[in-house]
Amino acid sequence: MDDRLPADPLRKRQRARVRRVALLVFLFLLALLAGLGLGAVAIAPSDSLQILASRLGLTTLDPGLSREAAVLLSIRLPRALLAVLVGGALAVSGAALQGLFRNPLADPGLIGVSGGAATAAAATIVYGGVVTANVPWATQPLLLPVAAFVGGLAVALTLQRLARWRGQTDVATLLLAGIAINAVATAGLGLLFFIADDQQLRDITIWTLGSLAGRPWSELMLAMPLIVLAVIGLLFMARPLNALLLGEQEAFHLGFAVERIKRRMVLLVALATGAAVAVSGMIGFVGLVVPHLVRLLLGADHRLVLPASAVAGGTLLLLADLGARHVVLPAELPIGILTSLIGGPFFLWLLLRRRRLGAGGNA
Amino acid sequence: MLEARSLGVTLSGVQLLSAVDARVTPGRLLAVLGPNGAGKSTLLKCLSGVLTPSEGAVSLDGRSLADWPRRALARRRAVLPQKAPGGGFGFTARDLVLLGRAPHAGNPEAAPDTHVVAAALEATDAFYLAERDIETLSGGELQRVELARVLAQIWEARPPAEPGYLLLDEPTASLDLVQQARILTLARRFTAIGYGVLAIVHDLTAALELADDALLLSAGRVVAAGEAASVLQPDVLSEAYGAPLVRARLEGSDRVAILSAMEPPSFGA
Repeated sequence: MDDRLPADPLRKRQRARVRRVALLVFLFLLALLAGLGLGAVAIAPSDSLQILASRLGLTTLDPGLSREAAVLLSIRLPRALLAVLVGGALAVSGAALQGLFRNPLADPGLIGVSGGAATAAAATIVYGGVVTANVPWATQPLLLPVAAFVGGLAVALTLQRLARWRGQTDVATLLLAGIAINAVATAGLGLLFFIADDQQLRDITIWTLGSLAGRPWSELMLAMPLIVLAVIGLLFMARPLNALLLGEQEAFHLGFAVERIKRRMVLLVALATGAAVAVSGMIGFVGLVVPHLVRLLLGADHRLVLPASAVAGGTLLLLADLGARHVVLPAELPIGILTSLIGGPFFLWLLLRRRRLGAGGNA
Repeated sequence: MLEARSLGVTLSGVQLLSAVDARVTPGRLLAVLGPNGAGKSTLLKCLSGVLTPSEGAVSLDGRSLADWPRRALARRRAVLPQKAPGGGFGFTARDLVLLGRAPHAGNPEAAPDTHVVAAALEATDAFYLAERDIETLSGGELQRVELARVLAQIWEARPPAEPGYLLLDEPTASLDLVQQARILTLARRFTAIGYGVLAIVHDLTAALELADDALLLSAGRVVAAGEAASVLQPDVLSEAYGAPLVRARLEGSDRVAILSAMEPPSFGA
């Protein structure tokens, strides 16, 4: 209230938060321009912007940039968009699940949604030929993401059925049942590995390692509306998620329809994760690490954590994809290897840091 | 008026409550007493709407709880949980109290949140804690911040508006003697503003001194109900608790304490 007071902690904290949000957005834009510009054909940020602007009809394109424009619009842009969508979807899903389960270890991979998607995708790789041979409109590139999506959703719905008892969803059962389903999915995946021939084996392996490479616009357009809708839906869950931090009964006392919120949230997470896994394969640790990082920077209020996770998740995947494209030139590393390689040690560091701060007791 | 009429609750074949009547009245503090397992928490869960009774009904202003829209109900009744939230999410006391304002989101007639949060913290003597991380608070401090949260939730529900109701689920569990009395004194203060307060209380002396009314439960049934002084009689209490309880006059004052007079066990010669 009085500017002469040396420290108004509330305003100081708010200013720090604004600065950190600005930093996240700045990093995101930087990563986006780098993702669009770096590669075999380097495109300067100003040229990238000009190409995009001309595409939107805002300016006319310098004819000297036609090659850059082709690379940017047909290769780099869909890939960058995919990174943003998938990274955002996984990170927001992770943040929402951690809030819902009040468990910092929850992540879409842990409750089996990714596992279900992976098994369905592997089954398509092994047995998809039977379908594509008999159904005229079904092509392998279309069948795989659809199957992955359905697989993820099926696991989520099964989980909800299992965890419902007397009209209430028991969150602990949900988590444990997810782990059990994950084990079954992993076994199914193993069986498919065993059955697959050499080429299929390689396809499955690459797919389970995750990649953003070579996805056409058509596939992106299939996943985009699902991911965007699910992420927006999850962003609207910020207030109930905050209330759920107090416990389910307390959230009910505060006037939230807890059961409906839980069901809706699992469905939205399945939608976002299923669609993301369908177009990019299994990309680990984004859903686990990004929300933690965001909470470290901005505190626990989900009204900030959810949107900031979306932005940070997109940034992380843009950067990881840049790495994947450049580390082993001229080949390309599956991005899932990179995210797990960085995410694992980073998470360990987080754990040790927590313990050192003496806050590990109620994790 | 928040009212339960001939409540019966049976869970998994066990009868937890039967034929219980209870009434939380604006401007009065009702102490719910009884030994462990008497059904006090079950009664509170029915009154808050968490649990739907198998028999009987709970109504607020004559309207069954089931017919109240969730948010409207949340603006009229708040519950202080037995267990304060665990830490680990880096909230300050102010953030925690702000959560209590959730049912008022988007309501143009509601008072500004920042104002209510500050005033609620003030009302529970916790304003000086506003910027503290809740993980660093003592049990008593955290309970007062929680009390501010539930107060902020029903802040506008005071005369001349329709009165709000506070249900305190053993607000004194795990607090030391002085902190226990402090929470109940604060609750007492809220009744003076016009709220109706129900508190599950173990400290019988505090109940005698601070409560207007008392409801004594034992094995899921009402043993005695009415004005606190009439309910808190040694013979009735002794029977309900299954142990001899006596009134003792405090030296040099008119005040009376209610104590257990159980013989200590003898450990050999």
